[in-house]
Amino acid sequence: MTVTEPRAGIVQPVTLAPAREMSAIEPDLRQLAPNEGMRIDGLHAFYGSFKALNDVTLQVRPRSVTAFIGPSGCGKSTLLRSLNRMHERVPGARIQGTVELDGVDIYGPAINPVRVRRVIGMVFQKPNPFPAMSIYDNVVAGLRLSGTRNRHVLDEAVERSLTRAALWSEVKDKLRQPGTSLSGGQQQRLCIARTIAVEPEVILMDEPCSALDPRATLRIEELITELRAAFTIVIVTHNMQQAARVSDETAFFTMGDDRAGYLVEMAPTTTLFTNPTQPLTEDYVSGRFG
Amino acid sequence: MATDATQLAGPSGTGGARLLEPPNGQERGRLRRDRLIPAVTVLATVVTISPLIAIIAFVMVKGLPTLDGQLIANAAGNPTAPGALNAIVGSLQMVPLALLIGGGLGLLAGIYLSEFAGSRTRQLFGFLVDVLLGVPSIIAGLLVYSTLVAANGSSAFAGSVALSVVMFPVMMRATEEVLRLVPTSIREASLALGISGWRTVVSIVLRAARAGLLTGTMLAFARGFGETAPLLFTAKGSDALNIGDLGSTMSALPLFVYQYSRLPDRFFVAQAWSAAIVLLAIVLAINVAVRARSVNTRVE
Amino acid sequence: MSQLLTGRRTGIGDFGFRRITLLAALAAGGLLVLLFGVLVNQSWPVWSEYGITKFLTTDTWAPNYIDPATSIVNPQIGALPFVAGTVLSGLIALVVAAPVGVLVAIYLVEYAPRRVSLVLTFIVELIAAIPSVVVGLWGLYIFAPFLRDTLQWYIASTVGHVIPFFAEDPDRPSTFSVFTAGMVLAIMITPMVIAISREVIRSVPLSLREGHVGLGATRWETIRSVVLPTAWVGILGGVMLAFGRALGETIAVTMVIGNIDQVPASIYEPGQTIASKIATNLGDVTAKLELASLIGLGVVLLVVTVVLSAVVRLTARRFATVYAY
Repeated sequence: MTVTEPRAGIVQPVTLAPAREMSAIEPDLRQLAPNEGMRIDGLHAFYGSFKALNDVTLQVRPRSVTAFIGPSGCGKSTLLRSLNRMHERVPGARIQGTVELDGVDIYGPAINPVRVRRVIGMVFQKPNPFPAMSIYDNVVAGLRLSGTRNRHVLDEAVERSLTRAALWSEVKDKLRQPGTSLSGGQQQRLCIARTIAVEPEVILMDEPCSALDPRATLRIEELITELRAAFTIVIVTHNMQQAARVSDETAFFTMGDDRAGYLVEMAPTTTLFTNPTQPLTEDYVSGRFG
Repeated sequence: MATDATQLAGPSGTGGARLLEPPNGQERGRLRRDRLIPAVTVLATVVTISPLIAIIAFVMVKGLPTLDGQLIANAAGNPTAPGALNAIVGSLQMVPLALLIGGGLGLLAGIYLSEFAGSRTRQLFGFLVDVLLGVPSIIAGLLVYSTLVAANGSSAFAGSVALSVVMFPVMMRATEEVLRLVPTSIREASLALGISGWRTVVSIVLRAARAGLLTGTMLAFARGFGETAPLLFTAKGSDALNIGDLGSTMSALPLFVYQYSRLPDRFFVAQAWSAAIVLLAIVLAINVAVRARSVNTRVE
Repeated sequence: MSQLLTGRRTGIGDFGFRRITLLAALAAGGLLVLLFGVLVNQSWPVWSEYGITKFLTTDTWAPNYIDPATSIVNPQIGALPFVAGTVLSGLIALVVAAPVGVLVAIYLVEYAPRRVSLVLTFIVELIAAIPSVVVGLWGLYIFAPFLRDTLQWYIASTVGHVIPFFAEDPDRPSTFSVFTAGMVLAIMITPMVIAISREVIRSVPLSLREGHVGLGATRWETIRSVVLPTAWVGILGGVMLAFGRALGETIAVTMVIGNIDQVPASIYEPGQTIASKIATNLGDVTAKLELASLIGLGVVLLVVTVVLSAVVRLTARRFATVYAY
């Protein structure tokens, strides 16, 4: 299905992913209860005295793919990293506001960031398998951290995770080889496998395909739409078409005059791309800027 | 707003529950270890730093009483009031000479590596310099002993040569590294203006790198100033105040400290401590002056 | 950038300058050749007449020995005590300096606030700059007696009861021994381990650390499972370089090792390293064979340090700049 913008001189074909039809679960776009999924309320993010994000309020639907799109530098990655408390690892970085998962504030005083990152996983822009570990060890790295030692349990987890990451058949005979011996696309699927091995609730993806070639990108996108059934996925992407292909809901951000990013509009993906309410959104999705 | 884990709604609702679960024994152990390790590393740091403080403190305590005009103004040969002037003056002659010879050669060699050598040559020489840097300084003294001293006897000049063997690779590596940091665009601009190759290097490149070269030179000087082993059998040391006679034995500050520390007379041992203050002060002052500046400018 | 100037021969100045600098660079090679050539040549009797195996395995040093029964000169040239002393003191230094140095490097890179890290790095570099004779003087009169009454006594009275190698005579503990030298060496080589380890640890990419933390790891777990395994080759190289430095250190060791030509039966016995033997004897020696023997010792030390530097250079190519040392 192709939708073309009826504007003179600007034709931006937006292709909705055929993969969506493969998915067993149709996006359930009913109104969310406040303690469902991830709820972000009045979030401001700072690096020292520099404000990177301004007053973001949105809700991430569970068991779906939410995309954050917008021009570079508008704080999408900062927002994503605030969702698993990675943002605070930068010296001087802090947030104001609330981030909740299933009604629980992940920044609460009793909550350990280590636990948060276990429950909310992350896949990074550049595939980063641990070079000193084999493929097997990479996948079970997270499980070993929580003390799992039983060989059978680990073996099962490796097969399960690599299968779900669509990598098992390619590596099942070379599990002992270093994680870095794979191609870029395979490495990223390995990183996805190790992330899902610890069974998080949410998977955050920070431009996961930007370092990959188009074929690898497509495979990952297919993977994302499959994983949607079991995980809540938030993906930051600078590629609008990708957002249109894989996500159920999309949030569009841009940079304000104070150089802080802010949320312009969030809507079900089809709506955002064909019928945005904000003029800025319309300009962006029709390719006028960004 | 549900904050109680039992009241969570949503398709799974388990995310919140997992967050709120109290840590089990394993997780508590992990967190304990994570708090313990930084303390261990701090302890290691304290252990590493304390000898510096201890050395400075004890050298001062032991050496200040005899650090007086006599020590600085009189030579060791003075029958009534011996001092260490011969050592101070000796160092001030031999080390600059060594810097000239070894440091000068090292500078030229480093220039070749940085400006003229191809990458394979540079790799080969890099290997060579690494090996030379690892040669113990007593071996340098041994070499000069077997050649120069065997032929002409102990002399301050032989001492300088031995020191320059030590300083040569130091200066060669420092020069190469500093010059490599000078951007290629500077050389290109100079050549484009029609300035000939060697003038480019001397007037433009060296000039651009002069701060780093000065640093390298001062550090090489401090290194040579503190060396004892190369001088043991070359310059050998002498109680007489030797100014200018490079063909005879000459004392140096580290030699003085070494030789006097082993004497049975407590007064001379005290003088060794005092001379150590002077030596330490000079070497540390140079190092502090050079490195402290880069602490502020260093890009970490 | 060298390609810019290569081949530029626009005048006598250029040609001459390039020649001069090339000669200076070749001096590096010449120096190494000279070192080996002269020293091997001067110690030739040891290698050709006495034999290298005998040299390295005999444990007595008496190059002028005259057999009282037959009045025949029967030189005993045993390098073994000095090799043993060198290796032992070096290993003791390594065992202390390596873990401590790596821990400090971890602190400086992973835990210390930036300002603190810069200041501490500077202080550590100062330790390396202390002239070895000053360290030796302090070691001789202050540190050695202190060590004897604390750490030495403690280890000897615990481990020493089980393993004779760590035992001492409780009524007459040695103030100066291989152990003392090893500890002094440890102080001197730790800065080198720290500097190189710091560089190597810092160069582990942030993305790897984040990948591990993102799985729910504590900081220490990431250091242990990702950072150190990735960095360990470079760290090992630094440790080996530091070991080489310990093997060659002369003055501080000479002042605290006790200067007895023996293969020590315990680390708390006095000993002698190759460097300290040369340092204490060279000036008094006139007899040809004895001189050749000392120079032969020097050759052994030279070969060991050269091989060590070469191995490190070929395997782990991370070095702190020479500024530090």
